[in-house]
Amino acid sequence: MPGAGHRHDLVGLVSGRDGVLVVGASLAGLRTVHELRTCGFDGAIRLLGGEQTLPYDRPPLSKGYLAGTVGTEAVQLTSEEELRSLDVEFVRGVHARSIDLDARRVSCDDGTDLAFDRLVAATGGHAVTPQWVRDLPGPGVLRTVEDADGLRGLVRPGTRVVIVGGGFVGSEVAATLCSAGVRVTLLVDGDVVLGRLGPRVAGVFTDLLRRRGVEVRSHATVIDATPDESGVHLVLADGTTLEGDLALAAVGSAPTTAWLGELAGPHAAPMTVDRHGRAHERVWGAGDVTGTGHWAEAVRQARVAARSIVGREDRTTHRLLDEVPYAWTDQFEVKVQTLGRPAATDTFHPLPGHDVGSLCFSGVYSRAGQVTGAVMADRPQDLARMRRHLAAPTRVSAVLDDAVASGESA
Amino acid sequence: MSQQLHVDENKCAGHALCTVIAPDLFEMDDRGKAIVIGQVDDANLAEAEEAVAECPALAIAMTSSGS
Repeated sequence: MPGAGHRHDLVGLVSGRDGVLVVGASLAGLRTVHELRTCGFDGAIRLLGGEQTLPYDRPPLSKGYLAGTVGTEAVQLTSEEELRSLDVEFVRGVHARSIDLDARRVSCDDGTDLAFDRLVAATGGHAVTPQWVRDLPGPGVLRTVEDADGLRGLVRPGTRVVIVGGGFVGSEVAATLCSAGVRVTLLVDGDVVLGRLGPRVAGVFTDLLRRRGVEVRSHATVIDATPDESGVHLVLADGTTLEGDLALAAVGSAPTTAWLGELAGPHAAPMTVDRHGRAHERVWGAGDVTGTGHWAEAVRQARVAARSIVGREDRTTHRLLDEVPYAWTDQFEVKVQTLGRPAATDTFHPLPGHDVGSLCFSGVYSRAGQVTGAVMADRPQDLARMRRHLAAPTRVSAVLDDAVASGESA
Repeated sequence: MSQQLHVDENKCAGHALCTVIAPDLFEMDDRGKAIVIGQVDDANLAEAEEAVAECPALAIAMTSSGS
């Protein structure tokens, strides 16, 4: 009967015969869906999310959302309405457990198997959780909205918080909490916070944290921590101890790849993908699952993967493939933007006339005379020009001469 | 009929790609937000459309106005 054939097609569609299964309702996962539709993909799309929430944005979690100046709606990346208009089946609260590439199935922790024709892994990463933080009160790490809610609920003016790790998350949380009157001690393993920006730039942001009241301790490593009646008791590698009401480990994230089996290496190795995000004939990866760790890179990889799936290779695809790596952090009121992948040991050159100590400057990094990256502190107006400089191999002298010629100074 | 560009300030995260794609239409202001500085016309319509499509934060919209 005619209805049966139609029904069969529908079942086939729903089980993913023609469909793309996006695992991970992350920024990368959602942007993959968005780009697939923008590029005209009209097959079935299923988006699998481990949390009960709509996809949300992580950068505000250590900034405005933690401070309470922006609410839930400001971190949501989409709405039920938009998901409907994207014609995506959103499955929430379910984690992928394993993948069978031959059978084209993903097994989930709720006991279901999901078939796919093509799959995009966008499961992101999870906060590295050191053993010492596991028995302490509070979330212990900051990665999810739940973590941010938990931390926000436990701090008030005067609360003593020890933050371990001086990267983007650790320094941002320190700045946010300190601004809210929380007594923050920030332990860093090197000399300075934001060490990857090199000693000169990192130094001014370390000084800024100190001036605003954060106690920054260099070369400090926690080896043990115990909860006690007054809070937490931390033991450092140099034998000293530290008391606080709460402790937070901000020591990086690891890609969430355990479910990917042979597509990722052992021991939380990132998923290996080619420049189009492809890991296998039918599998792509985008975002932190590939070990990248930055917002703009997640967006870029998601779009590249979607374009690879639909076979779209146009000018936009090429620009995405050649995009200069970009990241940013907010250190109190100063927006710090970086381009490229400079090493901490590269030479830093402020643009002529720019004073690093003023916290309003731009500069470039070089290695053997070649530009490797750029940093802009409170200078968003320089970003476009710096992007152009970094788009092709450039001598550092050319960038500095151009800055003089264009008469730009801070 | 003319096309109007709009930047959603709440979404704009200051990536500045629009100022690279369409320097005659966008500029970064001193708060790190993109602002519209030009009018869309036949000569720059393609750039404008590209800027809308390329914004990583999906913060730019183009609407038709007038007739």
